[in-house]
Amino acid sequence: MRLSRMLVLAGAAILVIHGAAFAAASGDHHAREWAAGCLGCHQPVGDTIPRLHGQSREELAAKFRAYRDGRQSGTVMPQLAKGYTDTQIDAIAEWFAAAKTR
Amino acid sequence: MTNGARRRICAAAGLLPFAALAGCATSRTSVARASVVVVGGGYGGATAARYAALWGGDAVRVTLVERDAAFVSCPLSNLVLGGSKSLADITRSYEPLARHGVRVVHDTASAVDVERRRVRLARGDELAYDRLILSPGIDFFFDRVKGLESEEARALLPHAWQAGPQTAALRRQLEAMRDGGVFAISIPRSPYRCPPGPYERACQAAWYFKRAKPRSKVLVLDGNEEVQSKKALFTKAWSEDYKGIVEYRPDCVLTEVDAKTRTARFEIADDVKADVLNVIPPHGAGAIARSAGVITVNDQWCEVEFLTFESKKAPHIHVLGDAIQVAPLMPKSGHMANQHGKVAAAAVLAALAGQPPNPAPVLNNTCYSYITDHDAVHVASVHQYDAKQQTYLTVPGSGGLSAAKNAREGDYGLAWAQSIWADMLG
Repeated sequence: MRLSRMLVLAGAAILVIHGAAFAAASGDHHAREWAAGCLGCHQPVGDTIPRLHGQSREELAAKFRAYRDGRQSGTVMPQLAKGYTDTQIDAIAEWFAAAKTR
Repeated sequence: MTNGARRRICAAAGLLPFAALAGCATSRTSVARASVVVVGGGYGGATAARYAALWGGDAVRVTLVERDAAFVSCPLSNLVLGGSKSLADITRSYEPLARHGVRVVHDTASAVDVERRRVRLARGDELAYDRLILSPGIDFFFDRVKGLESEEARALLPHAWQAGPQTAALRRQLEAMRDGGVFAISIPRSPYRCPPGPYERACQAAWYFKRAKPRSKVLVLDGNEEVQSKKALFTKAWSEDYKGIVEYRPDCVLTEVDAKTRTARFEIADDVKADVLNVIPPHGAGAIARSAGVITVNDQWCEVEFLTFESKKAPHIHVLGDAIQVAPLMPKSGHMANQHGKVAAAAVLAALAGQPPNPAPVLNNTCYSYITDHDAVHVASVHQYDAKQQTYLTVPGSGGLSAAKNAREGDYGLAWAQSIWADMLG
């Protein structure tokens, strides 16, 4: 009786820790998921495709919008930028500004 | 109660740590972490595995089941056929994934036990999962083309639509072909893997012939009524760069081949006898999807809930990459599979944590095709999730094509490959 109660308590305690681990791992992470969409091309390797990691949030968001609004020419980016919302652009810019290299 | 049944209940209640105490043991050592098993280490699966490990941290144990010892990229493999790249150039190791927390098991997933939530491996082991991600790529319907049923026939007609030994075999045939010979490519009906791929292949073969055997021809035998991707750009290349070399024929629905005489027969079009015959056979989701019972469309593709990539048929099984029934205007491309992998990884982790998925996922596609060894063209698109229609829709005004082939995008295409391989494999 006593043992089983202890087991339940121990289980509950681990459950709390387990839940916390998940919450930390997958809470409100929309920004990193949107930013991950850019990482197929924009890995911090090589210098042919511009690196986004560590650029300032303002600079990145401004470039993104310049592509979107037709003020900046390019190949792929003027076409891709037109598909993103303001919320996504700001979140992505903020994520890369905070990111070093993974 | 069996271990499996008990474990299922524990897992369903989100009580995996408690399950360890209560005896919900798995075949593996620890159940303190949720088990995510990914089948297929291509653009979709390797990405999903890497991001599940990256974002899941200590909360998950990620296992990737991959048949091949090394990753060989389908994108750029047409350059190997053309001779400007080698197989080594497009091959990468799976080893870095281990450093990123992914356990890579080199085996073939032979069956899925949906009830017991286990994946059976060809060598006999079983892997228990809380969430299964299937990125099985494609398998071919060899029985739908008369004459392709035997392995002997298939050995004579490499499809090279999965990169690796098949690519090398077709390259050898092109090298051995006489000057003045005909290389014919048969394209299946859409949707098929990599819409622009067959047309890029025609360009790469023509690029090679122009230099090495200039009297030779490339015949594109399309099972569709028109060029399926980058039409204006490819058509221009064939009428300018490869004038007199490439000939395009629409509406060539293949019904039969004679492998020995390299003859192709069609529903309506005239027979074609080639010196090298490259049949890209009709195909659908990889075989493991059949075992899992997640193929739902035409006995060919897998429908998914697009917010999470969870199968519409089997709970706790997510399907991605070329195997899925795509959303409108969504290509079956490596880049797109990489995008699927990230959304699926995030959704799996959210589900394991009992949280809702990101309600507004967005996917992009960027695909380069090489016209010559260094000039490329692209197609790009953005696909936002539409909650009302529960699918992805391309954003009006977004996306597009190159104006013309150019060397700058040839550089971008190679850089894209280096980047995305680093993204998926580490």
